[in-house]
Amino acid sequence: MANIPEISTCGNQPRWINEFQNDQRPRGNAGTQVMLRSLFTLLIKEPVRRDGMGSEQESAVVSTAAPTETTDRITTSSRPRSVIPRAKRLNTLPKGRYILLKKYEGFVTSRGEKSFTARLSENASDYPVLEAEFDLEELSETDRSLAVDGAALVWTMGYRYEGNTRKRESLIYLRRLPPWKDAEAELAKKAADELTRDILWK
Amino acid sequence: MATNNRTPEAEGLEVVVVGSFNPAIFHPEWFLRQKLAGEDDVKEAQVNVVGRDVTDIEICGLKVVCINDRFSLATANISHAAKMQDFLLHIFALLPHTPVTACGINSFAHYLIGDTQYWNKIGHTLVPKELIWNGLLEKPGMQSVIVKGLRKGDFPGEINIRVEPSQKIQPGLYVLSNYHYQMADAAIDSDTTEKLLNFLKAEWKSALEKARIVADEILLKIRPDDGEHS
Repeated sequence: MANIPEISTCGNQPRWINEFQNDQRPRGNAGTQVMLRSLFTLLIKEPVRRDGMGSEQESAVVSTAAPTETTDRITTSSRPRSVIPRAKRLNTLPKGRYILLKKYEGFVTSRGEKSFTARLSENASDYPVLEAEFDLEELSETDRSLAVDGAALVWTMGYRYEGNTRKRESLIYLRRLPPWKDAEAELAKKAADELTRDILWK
Repeated sequence: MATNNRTPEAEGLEVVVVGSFNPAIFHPEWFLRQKLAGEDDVKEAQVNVVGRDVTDIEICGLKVVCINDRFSLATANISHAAKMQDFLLHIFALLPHTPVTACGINSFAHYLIGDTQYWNKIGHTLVPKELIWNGLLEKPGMQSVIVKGLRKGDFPGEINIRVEPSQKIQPGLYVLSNYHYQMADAAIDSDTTEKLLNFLKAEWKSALEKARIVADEILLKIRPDDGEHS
């Protein structure tokens, strides 16, 4: 197994050291396969707490999202700054395991006060399609406002693993697709018109 | 015709975009502001690093990792695949001037092969040992096979299929499909994000299914010997 050579830069830039495992090894020239740097170690310079000093050095390279007292305060200490590199492993693939049993995609056809109805299918060519009514409570609070006529949704069933525990899970979520552009809407309208025209009504 | 539609024991998806990125913007709050995530999603988001050189967060069941020349979105829960597509379409619609040079949609699946003899048979069939390897190595075994093919259509490119023994399920089979799309040089082509969006819309479904299709074909064409349990 050939490792990618360590990429090391000077100064405050991070250094990458590769530690590939299992099925995350780098692969030849397929630059977008999982993943040239799918598992790597990032050396960051962490702030150092000096007991008795009363303040910490600022973080030199990578700040964490939630600023802590160590990263958002610039020290006024007159002592020389010292930052100690600490290895932090980054992995592009999340942990976890899921077995998908069924997946339906569809759209909301009507919404009531406490429930909504959706038309669903496993494949676009399925006929007849499935009609199902769901309580709005099945959706997360933030998704409920998205359940309007025509909204696209996904319903999946499967087994999710948490350690050695296997849980049967049903998941419903509304899709958050970007709004259609005028050109896309026009194209869809044209396609629908053509389809309608080609149907030989009897 | 006999079919062999097994259910994978684990399945996931990763999309890698190569280009030039600003990792610092991919903070959970940004996803909230762009209405890609709800407030609860942001509260539950796991932030490992968000910074100028690297971002590594988990939000809405998706892992977002961005370094200066690479952006990836991944999930080990395939039920989030549609959500991942929404994220990608939104992100690159919101950042239309991002220089993008390549994109890969990688789906992977692990299958349980109940019987070790059958598992070995799959390896020996994909990589025969008689002609070369038996004379060179003691007990040669297949560790990995990559087969590259061309993809035609509006978004021509490569399809790379990788087959390996599964590290997750044992004895098991691991299949990875990589839909690679190489774009023109971002410096001379200003429409790279538009092309990326169109690629993600057009090839998504096919790319998602490819690992399963390949595994089904392998398990259908290579059958266990009599007496073995598949």
